[in-house]
Amino acid sequence: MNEFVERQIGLRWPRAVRRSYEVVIVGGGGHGLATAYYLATRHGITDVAVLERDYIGGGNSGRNTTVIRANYGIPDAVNFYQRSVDLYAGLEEEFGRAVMHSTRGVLWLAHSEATLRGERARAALNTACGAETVFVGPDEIGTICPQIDLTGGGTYPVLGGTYHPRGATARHDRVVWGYAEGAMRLGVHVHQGVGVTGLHRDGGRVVGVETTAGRIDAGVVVSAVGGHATVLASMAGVVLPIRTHPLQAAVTNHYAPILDPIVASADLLVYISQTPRGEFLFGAEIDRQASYSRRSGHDILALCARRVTTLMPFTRQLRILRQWTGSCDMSPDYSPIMGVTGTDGFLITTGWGTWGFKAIPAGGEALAETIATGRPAPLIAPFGLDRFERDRTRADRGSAGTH
Amino acid sequence: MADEGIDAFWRLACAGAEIDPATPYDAWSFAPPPLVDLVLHGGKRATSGLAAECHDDVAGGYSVLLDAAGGPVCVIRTTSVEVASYRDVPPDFGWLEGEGDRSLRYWRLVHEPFLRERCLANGLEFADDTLVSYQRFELVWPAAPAPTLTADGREIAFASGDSVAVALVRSGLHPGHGGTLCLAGDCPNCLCVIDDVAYSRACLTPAVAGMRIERQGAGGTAVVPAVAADRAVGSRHLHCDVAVIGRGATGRAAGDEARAAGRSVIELDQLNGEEVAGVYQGPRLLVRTPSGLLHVHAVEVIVATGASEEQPVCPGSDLAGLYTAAAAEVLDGAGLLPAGTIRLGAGVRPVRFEGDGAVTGVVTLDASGVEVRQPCVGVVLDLGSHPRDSLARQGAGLPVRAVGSCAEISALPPAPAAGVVCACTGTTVDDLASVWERGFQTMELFKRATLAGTGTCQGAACLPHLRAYLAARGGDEQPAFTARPLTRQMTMMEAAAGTWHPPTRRTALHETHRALGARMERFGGWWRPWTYGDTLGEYEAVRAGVSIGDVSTLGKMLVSGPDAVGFLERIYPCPVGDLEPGRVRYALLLDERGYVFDDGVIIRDDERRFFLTFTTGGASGAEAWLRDWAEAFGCDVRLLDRTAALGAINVTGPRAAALLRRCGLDTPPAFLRTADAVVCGVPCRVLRIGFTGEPSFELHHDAGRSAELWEALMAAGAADDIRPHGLEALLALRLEKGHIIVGMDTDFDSTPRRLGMEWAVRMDKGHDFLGRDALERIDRIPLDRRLVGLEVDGDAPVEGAPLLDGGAVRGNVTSAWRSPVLGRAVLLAFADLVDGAVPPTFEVDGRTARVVDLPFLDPEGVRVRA
Amino acid sequence: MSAPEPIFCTRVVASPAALDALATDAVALRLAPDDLLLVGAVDVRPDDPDAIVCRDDGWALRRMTAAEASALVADHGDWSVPPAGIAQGALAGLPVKLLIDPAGDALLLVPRPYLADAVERLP
Repeated sequence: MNEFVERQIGLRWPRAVRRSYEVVIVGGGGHGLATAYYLATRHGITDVAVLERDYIGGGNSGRNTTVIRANYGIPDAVNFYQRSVDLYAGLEEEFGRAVMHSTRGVLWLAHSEATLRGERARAALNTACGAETVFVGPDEIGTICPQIDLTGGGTYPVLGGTYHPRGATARHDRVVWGYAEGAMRLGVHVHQGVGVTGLHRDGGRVVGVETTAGRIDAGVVVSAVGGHATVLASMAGVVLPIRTHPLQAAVTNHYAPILDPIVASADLLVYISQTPRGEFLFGAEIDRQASYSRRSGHDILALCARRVTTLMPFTRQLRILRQWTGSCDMSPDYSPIMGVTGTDGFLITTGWGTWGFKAIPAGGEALAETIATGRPAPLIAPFGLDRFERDRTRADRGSAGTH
Repeated sequence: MADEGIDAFWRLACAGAEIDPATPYDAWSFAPPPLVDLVLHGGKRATSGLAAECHDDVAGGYSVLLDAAGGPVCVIRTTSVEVASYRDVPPDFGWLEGEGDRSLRYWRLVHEPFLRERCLANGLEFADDTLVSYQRFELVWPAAPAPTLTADGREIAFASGDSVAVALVRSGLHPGHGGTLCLAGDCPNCLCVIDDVAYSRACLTPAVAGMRIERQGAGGTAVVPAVAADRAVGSRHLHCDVAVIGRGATGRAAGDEARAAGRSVIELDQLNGEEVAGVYQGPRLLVRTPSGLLHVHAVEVIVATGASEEQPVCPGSDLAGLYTAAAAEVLDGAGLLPAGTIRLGAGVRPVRFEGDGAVTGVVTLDASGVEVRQPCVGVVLDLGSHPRDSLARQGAGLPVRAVGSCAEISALPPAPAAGVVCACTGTTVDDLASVWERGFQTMELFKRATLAGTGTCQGAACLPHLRAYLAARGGDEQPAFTARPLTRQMTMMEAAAGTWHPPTRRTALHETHRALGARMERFGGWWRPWTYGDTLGEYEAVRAGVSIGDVSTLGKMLVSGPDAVGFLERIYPCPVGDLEPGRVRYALLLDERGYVFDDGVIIRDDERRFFLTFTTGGASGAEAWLRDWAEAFGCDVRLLDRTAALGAINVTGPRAAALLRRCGLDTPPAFLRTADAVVCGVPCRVLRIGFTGEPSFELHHDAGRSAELWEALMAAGAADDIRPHGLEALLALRLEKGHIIVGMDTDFDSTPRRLGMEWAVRMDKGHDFLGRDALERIDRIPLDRRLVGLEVDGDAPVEGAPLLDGGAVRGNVTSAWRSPVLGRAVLLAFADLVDGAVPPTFEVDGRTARVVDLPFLDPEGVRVRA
Repeated sequence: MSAPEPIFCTRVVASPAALDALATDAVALRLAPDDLLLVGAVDVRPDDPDAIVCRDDGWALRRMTAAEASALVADHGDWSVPPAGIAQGALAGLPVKLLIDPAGDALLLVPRPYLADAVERLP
């Protein structure tokens, strides 16, 4: 008996693509679908189409390591992700569906004085912003996660770190499908296999999209694409300061539960968690070379494996099942770019780097509010595209690390 | 026999095996000789040769088998000799010969070329009816002990040469807990925990005496072992023109063709223990072998992995006693296929299997569609095969070519009606129906909603059935889901083989620091002494006496050339052309956005030659930064990174100058001056700077002489109680002077204005420079926050602590230290401006922090210039 | 194969033409068109007024045969050793330079800050 077979969520696909929608969202990942869901459920806007060129949740929503946390490095980010942590915690109730949300706690380890300093700062700032993050010494770390080798294999001794108790995971596909189902139920059209090939403009304003299924007129077009966000935006005359870098991750076979928290190391640049199914998920930092490629490499897998086994020797004989690659849209200040773009009728949600999954609920909610009210939602106002021109970037070292 | 060594061996064997030493014997070696190892350790009990060359072989004869060097290894006795055509090879010979996976396929693979060669040597033409002498023998001496391993806590004997799967079958156990055995690495049905490694394919693992096996089976979970052995795994890289995966007829032909074209070829086959786990960019193959990890770098990869046999999907398909045709052949050869095993004809699909744990009956349909039940103890299925194309699909877009049956499109089986489709995850046909009804109707969604195909075999066994199901429901065939590495799995330790953590550099004084009891820390990519155990004492030595510190990690660069001045004017925001030789100028480095990313000093050696320094963290990027811009600007300059070549020791403190005078520096340079001098016999470039707030002399010297210079300074300073200072003390010392550390007291968006360092930028210097345009634009925007000095009573708050104003976060501390000389904590912090000004106080760590002017100590710079 | 040990070299950065014209008996590694590394203390004067010529203590050296070098690289690097000439790449994660002469001798140069790592990682 396979308990992971989806037995609750049902997807109702539209029969045909209409020629016009009030809102067209390009990209059927978590952000696009959540935006559609909140438009429908919170603002009564249901004349919405989500266009996905492949299948829903097949991009970065399906390629991340499902970590949910709010322990960021600047107040605006902590507030935003804290909202997401809260929304995630209530998502099963919201959907009436199991999304396998599981509060695990995040341990962030430091193996050098320089990093220790950063972790102390993280704890202090998080606390001031109302997100629970505490500084912990090696003894407490050993208690929270006995599997960690506090000597770091003799080469990376654990000097301390932070613990973020509300850190959680959820099953990414179910999050995506839950939003899709909820949106579909209220009449939102989600179209798979419909790729956007161009934008239609009237004067400066974006008034529709050209797709592989023909032209679709739109009151508002929202770019929620991952990977090729700059390409779509440029069609709207919007230049995005985004570079896309591959990020690789891997998973082992499944094992009986042993690792409770999500463990990350800022010095070793690696993170690992065990899924409810028992697989160990791990990854490292983004590839330095910008690329849209989703081809996995051996070097990263080897480096991850070296780091994970150094930190947690119990993983040495675990067998790796599969590796994969997602695309990280990196902004210059490691913060997302959301909201209006300066081109009428064209909104954007991008710059999701390695933190897109954890932002899905708050990002969707805030973007829906921005679309519905015509004003940037307060939670995402600091993350507007114009901040680069206004010299008000949101430099966040807290997110510059991993996942 | 002529060879005394062989004769002595024979007499020893005769004594051990109770044979009359006068018995005649022969002595020979296999072709190739190392096959003799298989006799001792691999269960080889037969050999075959061209009949025309084997007239003398008779049953009952003894032979001493020799190794490659002609040395005696063992004694065998031939038990039977049979001459028959090549075509009519006895069915158990694949097993008895003990080579490869012990199948007849492998026997033919290696014997056809061998017999062809022997025919050629004898002037014969090889054909299917060429006569072959098939000899069986027994091992007489040394007697091989029956090896044993432990399976599910039971000790079981196995025959040498058995795979773990065959060893388990030999002792009456299904290698998993049921399911059709393929014994070819395609299915998950023989998964075992082998010596603590779960998810090991028993069919691909040779049985070794003493192994600990726990049967796991498809879908079974595993427990992480309490203690994980630190098994070293080797790793090697091989390079070739063509890598061929699969040594079947197609693969060999492809290899031969490439060789004939003069290309170097590497052939890999899982039958030889070479499991290709992934095809990567390059192309590069990751290969798991018994001796470790193999990286094969090829110009072209040919995938000839053949086809995998279809697994049945029907009720009861998870019972024990079911075999694919190829698995049955291996077991039959070993005499392990039980009597009462039924062979179903080609393409005959059972309706269901019956039994409790093990199969006791099979139900099929007869020609008129009526169910027929046959009792049995085993069933051999022949359901055809599907391309084993996971590696070929991974190679899409790379110079990777699939040939033979792995490249052929096979017909999909009929849609499964009932039973377990994906044994790895336990997904049933009912599950498929359930998610289909829920709207998951494309392959990728289907896979994710059921997890079918995401288990250990990565869809190898279930993919044809999933596709068949979707095609039947949806009306058209859907492509296979994406193939990703790892096709054959490896442990974390195997994956990590040959890979190291990024190295951390050491200065030439590393061992000196350790001998002094320093705690070494990674900082900016280097090991640096954090403290020698008494940070406060180190601090006081600098403030009150004399101290030395290792600053060898500073980036150092020589720049010369006709365009040197013009180039550096464009790099730095401060003027460069007016710098006189002998002077030291502090400089910021800005990126194109006007943000500070590094700092250092500029020294002019002569008209068009400069020496530059950078921070420890910035050093590694400095050369690339300068080279890129030199090329972009088209400047004719020579650049040489001197970071590793030069050591640097900072001699600092009120008594530093006096110490240096005693060390041969008669006239120590004045503040922000530089001189070349010999100190303690070591030629140095001396830079007078003031980072610590005290007179400081950086002695840059050839790194090979660092230890000598350090020791001499320590000895000369002994009377002044000289002591070295570590990084922790240095961070405190500079903080009291308000000196920033780039990376600690800067952010990604720190303009000089935000740092209060406008003085380091000369917009009017008459040259364009990096970041100038951005600064011009940004300067018109009101400032939002800036770096300020704060003082707070009591201990230092945490670095990074927020500045609060009425409960709102208005900034953050970047550096903090409780100053012993000032008697309070001093902080650098980014503070938000309110109405264009920094408020006079903030709340930090529950206390009131007062904004004060920088620096905290010696604002007039009297000490530093002393 | 010798143990790696610190050496001192002479580094010459000059115009490519000046380096092309330079004659020396010293063991020479042309690292780049404008960059020459000479093993040992060598007195050279390239014909370039802006040439940088200086002692370079930044290296550790290990002597071996070309065959040993090939084996070392096969075990620790993902690149292959040319029959003769200079190769640069990573070995066990360390940046190295390799000089193979046609007579079958090889010099392995490791930046001195990585010497201890080289001793540990490249046995």
